[in-house]
Amino acid sequence: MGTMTICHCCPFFEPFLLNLALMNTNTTEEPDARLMQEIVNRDRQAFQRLYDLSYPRLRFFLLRMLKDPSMVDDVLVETYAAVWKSAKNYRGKAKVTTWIFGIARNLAHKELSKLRPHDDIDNFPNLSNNTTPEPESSNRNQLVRMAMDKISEKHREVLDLAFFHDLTYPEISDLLVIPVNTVKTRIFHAKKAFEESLRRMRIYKNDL
Amino acid sequence: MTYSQEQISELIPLYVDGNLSGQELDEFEKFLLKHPEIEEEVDAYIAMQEMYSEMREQLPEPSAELFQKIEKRIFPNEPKAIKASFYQKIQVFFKSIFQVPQIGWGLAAVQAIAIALLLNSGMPTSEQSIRTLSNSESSQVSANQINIIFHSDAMEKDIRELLLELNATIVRGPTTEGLYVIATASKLESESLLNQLRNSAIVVFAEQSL
Repeated sequence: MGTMTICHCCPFFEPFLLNLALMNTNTTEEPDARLMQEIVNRDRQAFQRLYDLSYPRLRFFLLRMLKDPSMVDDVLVETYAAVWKSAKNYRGKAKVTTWIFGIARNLAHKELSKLRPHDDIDNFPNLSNNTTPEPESSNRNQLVRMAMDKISEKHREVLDLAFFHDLTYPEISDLLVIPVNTVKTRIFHAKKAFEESLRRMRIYKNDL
Repeated sequence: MTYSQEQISELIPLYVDGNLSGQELDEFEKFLLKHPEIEEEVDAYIAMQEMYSEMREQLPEPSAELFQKIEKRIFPNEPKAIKASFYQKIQVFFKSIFQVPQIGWGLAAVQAIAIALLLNSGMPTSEQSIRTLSNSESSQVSANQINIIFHSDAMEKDIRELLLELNATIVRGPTTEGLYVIATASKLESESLLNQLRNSAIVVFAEQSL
């Protein structure tokens, strides 16, 4: 939402209207190409605005990948430094968020490969065939999160991108550098894996 | 039109969000009846959305400390950042407050109550508001009433002293023309009262009220 025009005719009402304007401000606004242009022009306030807009979801994205908060901080610093340096390379084909996620993902994979140099990041173990003991937590969403954590990283990532970050199939395709049909197939299998995980955790319909 | 299982799976988000209607909705629900395993898929999707919805509420706030590290990384040769001025700290503080919706609504409610109280308190809204010397208590209309107009530059203190001296009280006024109606206790005093009023330096007009 845009900002409200504050009526200056009555000073009594101005703070009240200002509060309403601030409450109505959309804090999940998507950074746009115009903001990127200001960053290209070395506008540091624009850069901070981009940081404020993108930080929450980017941190969430990296935390899901890396698990380690201090590693996430390091990658975030490198990501935003790269955004500042290569802002002129942003062509406007993808959303700004998708572009930043791409930079962050590549940097995160580099960090992970340092830790596990011989592993292929996309082939983390799938769900085991052993029956998982019934979870102790009674919180429904916690149980669902546990079920989500048990599926492969590849599947979890694509579910996060599609259903949490609300990226479209083409955007996910650009980000993961895979064809759109592969995205569709991966999401299909990811959902199946998630359902299986819920079933194995013995989270039945009446628990949901 | 009959849907394949894959097509039905793709319609699940639309079905859960209530965005299917007409024939699509009928076909979907028919398919659901014939293939109960799809219901499990629908339940899993709902569970996932609820989990993500809760996660969205827990998204972190932008870290100022991390941003400083980023700036240090980008501008390593810059002199040590000047500590945020008191004004900047206030800005950051209020920004963090107003990003919590409950606090914003709470403050708005407090302000609305304060505005309502101020408007109802009878406080003057401009410097030209007239404060009268009228008795705030309702008083019985006295038999001896006098219409009086004071000089425009007469001080309230002087008017009050005059009325006190004459044992009179204001029962009505002022009108837009500055006319008051004052009352005295006894009819006997009205003539001398009128004379005293007319002789006063602060009185322009004084006549017995009809």
